[in-house]
Amino acid sequence: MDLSLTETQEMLKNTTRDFLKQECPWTVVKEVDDSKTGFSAELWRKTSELGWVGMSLPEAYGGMGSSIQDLGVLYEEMGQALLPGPYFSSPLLCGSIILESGTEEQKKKLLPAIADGKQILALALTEPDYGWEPECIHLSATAKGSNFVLNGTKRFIHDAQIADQIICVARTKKSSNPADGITLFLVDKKSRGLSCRDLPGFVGEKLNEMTFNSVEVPAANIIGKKDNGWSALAKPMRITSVLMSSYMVGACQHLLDMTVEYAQTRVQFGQPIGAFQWVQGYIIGQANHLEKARWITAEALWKVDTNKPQAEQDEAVSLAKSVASESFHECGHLSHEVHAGVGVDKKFPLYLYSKKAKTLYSYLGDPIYHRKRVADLIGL
Amino acid sequence: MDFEFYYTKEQEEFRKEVSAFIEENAYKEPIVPPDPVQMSKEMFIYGRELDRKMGKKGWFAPAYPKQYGGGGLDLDHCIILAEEFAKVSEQHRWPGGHEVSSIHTGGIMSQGTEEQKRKFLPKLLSGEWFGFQCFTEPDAGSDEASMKSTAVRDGDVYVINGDKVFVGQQPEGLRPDYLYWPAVTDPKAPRHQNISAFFIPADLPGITYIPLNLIAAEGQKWEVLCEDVRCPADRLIGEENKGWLVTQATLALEHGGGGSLTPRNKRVLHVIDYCKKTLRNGKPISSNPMVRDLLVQLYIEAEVGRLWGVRNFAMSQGQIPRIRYTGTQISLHRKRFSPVFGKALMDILGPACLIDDPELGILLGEVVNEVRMADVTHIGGTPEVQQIMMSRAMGLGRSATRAEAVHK
Ligand SMILES: Cc1cc2nc3c(=O)[nH]c(=O)nc-3n(C[C@H](O)[C@H](O)[C@H](O)COP(=O)(O)OP(=O)(O)OC[C@H]3O[C@@H](n4cnc5c(N)ncnc54)[C@H](O)[C@@H]3O)c2cc1C
Repeated sequence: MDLSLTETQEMLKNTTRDFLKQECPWTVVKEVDDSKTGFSAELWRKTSELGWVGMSLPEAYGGMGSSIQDLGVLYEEMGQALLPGPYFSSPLLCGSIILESGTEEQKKKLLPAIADGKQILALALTEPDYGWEPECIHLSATAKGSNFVLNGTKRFIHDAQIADQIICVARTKKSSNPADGITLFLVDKKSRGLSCRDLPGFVGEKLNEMTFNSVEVPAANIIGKKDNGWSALAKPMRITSVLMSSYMVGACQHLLDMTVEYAQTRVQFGQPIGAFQWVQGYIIGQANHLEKARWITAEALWKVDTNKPQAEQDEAVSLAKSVASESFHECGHLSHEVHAGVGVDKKFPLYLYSKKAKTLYSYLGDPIYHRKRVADLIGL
Repeated sequence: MDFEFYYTKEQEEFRKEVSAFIEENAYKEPIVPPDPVQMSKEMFIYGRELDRKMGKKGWFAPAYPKQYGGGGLDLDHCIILAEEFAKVSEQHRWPGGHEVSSIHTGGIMSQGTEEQKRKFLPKLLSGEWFGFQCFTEPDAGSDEASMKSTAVRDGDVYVINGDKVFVGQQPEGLRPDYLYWPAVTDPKAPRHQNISAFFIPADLPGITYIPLNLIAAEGQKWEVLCEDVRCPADRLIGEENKGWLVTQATLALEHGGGGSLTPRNKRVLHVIDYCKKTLRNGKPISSNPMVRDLLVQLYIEAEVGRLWGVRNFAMSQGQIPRIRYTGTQISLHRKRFSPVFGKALMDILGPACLIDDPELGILLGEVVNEVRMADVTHIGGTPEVQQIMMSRAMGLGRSATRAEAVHK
């Protein structure tokens, strides 16, 4: 056993942190948050050039072929800085869907472009009947000659506003097993009949609604096997969920650090507020949430990395996503309790974190969804 | 005991009168945003007009004595007014009800001279004036007594300097009528004996208003700066250096020990109703066992809040003995419930609870407003300060000299 980071990981951590300190201070995060697209083309280009976007993809397709544990280090640092961008959607979700299930031709065509950031892909899965189970997939795809015609609505889709292409999770067949009859389609964002609008709200990143009004997609754009799309999502979801947990661990760490610092410097009644036991209680709560999420995530990263039996990986990843979502949300709230008034003011970074926590909370399954998966996996 | 509330015939008659007034003046459609920060200038102005209309009828501050501009109405009438106006507000059709200025009366009532009462109370209690409560400073929040604002006497004015934050609730482009502003008048005197309270005319030269951009609040908030503002000396409230008592009397009113018979958390009931009526995968959201349990947890807390309101009301009527901490208890309960409610909304509704869209925002935006408010538990004092007040009222830690300093 050795829980320390490798030398390369230490280096990755430090260079990532230095870069983000320089290029992505919270004022930049705020600017992106306030912008219409919720996207910084400059940050995306620079991080692509550094190889961050392609890190998870194999070298043969223009990536770096890094291990999941290495990626964990990178994503944790991204979370510290709250780096905005399609780092989950494009290389992790869509990249691994294509890598795992695409044809050689699709891989050759798409993966290098994803890896160097030239193409952005987003996954359109959830619908007005919100949920991450297969029974929530209703958007229909019916065959018409050598095409399929897609009809329906996708809602709360991350990164669709800046994507070039969408992987749409559609229903090609109704059957008693809801996981049967789901197919993944690669859809050009500019397709006729496809519209996308972002939904305003108290969101930590843009959430979009996409309407498919008889959108015709060539059958050649199916990724993986027809009707078998749900199982093609398992591994990409697992990888993305665990790395999203790393991102949330990083964000928790940042919340704890900024709150400790604030408690040491803010003086009321002639003493730093950190001297008050109620304030101490909040901060201890944050430290507990952070360390829960950190170690559950760390072990999950290791289990995925070392390719443990699938059920074991699934259990570890669902534990991580449920705990990290809760922890990030709670750390955000506890920071607010300690910061009181200033925490509510958009002149300070805290709200960007708490808003992000509320948005990632449900993304790829909320804590209740993941606890239910764990319940099944541990035979309850 | 009897929990049933019986209305007299006279009350029912009065109810008709009130509801006719409301129907005559309210918006026909629900267009008042549940998030008060989003209220437009026009709507706010109309709301203030309604406040004054109510004032003329004695309905703005109905329980206060007539001689000072209140309604002089008995409890039976006040209850009907509270119920009817709560109803129309919940329907998002009533932009009025800017009662902050009537809570500012606490200080004048208890500390003001007869002359001040005659001069200021009618303005406040009739809804004519609207003011900002300017207590908090960048370095003086919970520890209000450590404020740095100063007021120096110079002939028949006080020269005021200072910086107040998170104050007011008024859209951009409008000015309040006065600033309720405590400042240090005797820098050498001990804590709590060095402060005086003023009603500064809000349009004096030297006053700067800076709008704040907050994630949520009970209205558009402001930072207000006073730079050598020459405030007429007759705007001093209470005696010089007795300002601490003035502001404390206001906060006691704000924390509301009086109780109420109108259930506060209608939003919980609205969410329950929404979950019963809205289908997910062909079934009502409320049919999910997890959701059912979460909704009942919210329902329980809403019931507790309601019953404590009734309890405090019974206390104020002398039906049951008074317990000193019960006002703070309600305010603390609200502050602790709000994050729980916000999180339950995320668990029940998913990302839909974050959306503030004319078409997709749930319950006209009530839901996203509740989620925003989940992290804003500091209006009128943080939960810890409520806990300190409650502990004190229970006599906990009385002997500690440090506790003495913790006042608000
Ligand atoms: C939306 C909103 C509206 C507001 N409206 C108004 C208004 O109209 N007028 C006005 O004057 N002010 C207003 N305020 C300010 C509000 O009253 C203050 O935010 C509040 O009193 C807390 O002060 P603070 O923010 O400086 O926090 P601080 O006092 O700095 O508190 C920071 C943390 O320390 C804790 N703490 C402080 N002292 C103690 C102690 N002795 N023991 C234990 N814990 C302690 C607090 O509980 C908190 O967790 C508003 C604030 C908000 C957010």
